[in-house]
Amino acid sequence: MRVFRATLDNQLKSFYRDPQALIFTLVMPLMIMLVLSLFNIHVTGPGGARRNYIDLLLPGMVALTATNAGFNSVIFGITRYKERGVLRRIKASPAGTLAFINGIAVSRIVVVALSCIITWAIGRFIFQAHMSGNALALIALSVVSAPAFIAVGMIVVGLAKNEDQAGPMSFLFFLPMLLFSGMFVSRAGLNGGVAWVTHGLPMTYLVDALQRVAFLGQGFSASLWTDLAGMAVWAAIATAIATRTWKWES
Amino acid sequence: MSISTATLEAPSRNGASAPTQALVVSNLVKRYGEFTAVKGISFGVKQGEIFGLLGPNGAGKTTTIEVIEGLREATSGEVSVLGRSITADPRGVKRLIGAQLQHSDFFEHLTLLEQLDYLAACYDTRCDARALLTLVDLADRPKLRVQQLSGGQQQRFAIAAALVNDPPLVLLDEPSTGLDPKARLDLWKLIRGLQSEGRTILLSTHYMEEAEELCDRVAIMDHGAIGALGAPSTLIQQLLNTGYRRPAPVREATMEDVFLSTTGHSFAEAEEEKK
Repeated sequence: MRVFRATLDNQLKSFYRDPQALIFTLVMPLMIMLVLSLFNIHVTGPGGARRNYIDLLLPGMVALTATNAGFNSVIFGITRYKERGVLRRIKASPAGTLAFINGIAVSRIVVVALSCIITWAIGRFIFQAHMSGNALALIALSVVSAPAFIAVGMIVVGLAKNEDQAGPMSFLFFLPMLLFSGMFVSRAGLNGGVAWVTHGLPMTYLVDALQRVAFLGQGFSASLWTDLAGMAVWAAIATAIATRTWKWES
Repeated sequence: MSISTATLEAPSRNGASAPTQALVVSNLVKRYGEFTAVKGISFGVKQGEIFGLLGPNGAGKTTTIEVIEGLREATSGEVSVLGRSITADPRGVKRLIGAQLQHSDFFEHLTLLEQLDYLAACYDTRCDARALLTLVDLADRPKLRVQQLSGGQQQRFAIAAALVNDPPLVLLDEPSTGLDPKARLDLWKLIRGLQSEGRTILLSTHYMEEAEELCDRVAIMDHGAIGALGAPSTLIQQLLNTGYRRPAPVREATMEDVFLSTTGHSFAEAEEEKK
């Protein structure tokens, strides 16, 4: 328990003291909102209502924040530890692998929650995004998605020997998620084959869930449960794989 | 800081007395595929001594130390620390060892104090981090990050980190590599201090003078095997007894010694101060 608590504390400190991690997690969605708010774009909301594009974009940006904090920060942060031999030093101690990894995972879940609140607040109060649903549900769903992203990130950490390898591996997964999740444009017009392949990506489930709650103002519908189930399956399978690919050293 | 009696005492089995050997390595073999890095070596380290593994790069020193640390699994052979087998009780053995690794680093965003507290937690214990920093002469920089320290300070800090669990056996893997003469002398003083506290030290080095000055006994390793084992003075005497004589007279001092003796500090440190 002491290793878990100490790792959680260590990782939270490391995260907020690391300007690179903060910039990557928060500045990227902020910049996208800033740039796209310069365009006068409107979308059709529930009941055919004309809505500002930022209303649709904000749930996607919260999803992007969750992915950055859960997926990318795990990959780049922990691979760096692995490459520099920080993990070797811990391996030489009697600390349990599970306690250490759980400490990292819970730290990222906390970071996901806090950074999603910040992104939501910026979108809501600075960019004046209008939300149809409950903001708390938006944050809660992002937190629920975190284990899936963290576990997939841990697979990459296990496979990559160094940051140079981790970069392309991360993008191989991150880029399709970013482009095909429906974050920027609706997936309705997407090519059938591509739509079928990318439907099962964890970010697609998360963006769909967040848009249902925040943009369409839906409650707990069957579709939302499907999204939650999809993310749970990703979390379970990725965790099972990550426990096998995990390595303390390059 | 002195080590606790509890950690010094070996686990007693069936009322057996505590062993005088802090570390026993028996027929240790480590293979990486077709390559055999360590070829069936055996040695024992007595409690309270400084024991050196002396050899060039690639001799198998680091592999041997990493097996003892539990970082690598032995292909065959036995390692026991204070009577505990590393195969039977790897975690128990890790608790008895203080490890300074050759290729390792610390968390870049934590202060020195935080690093030590974190590592202590990894041993499920607490440490007096300030006392450890005082021991390695870094008490005035508790809030610094490791990357802000000089090479010599980083090595001293790595030794402080090796002491968070108050270990009876300290393993130092080439602790003085890359250090200037003054920093090396400071490090030797620190290592002797650890010995005077009752700790056993196993260190690897490829510096002859370090082995001769610092170690009570050395094992000379080459190509994964131990060629000779004994006290440096004994090994030298044994060689002389064979009729061997150095072909050239030994220089009693070098310019490095003159600079150090004149200024009280090394050239590199003077450069550092200017910055």
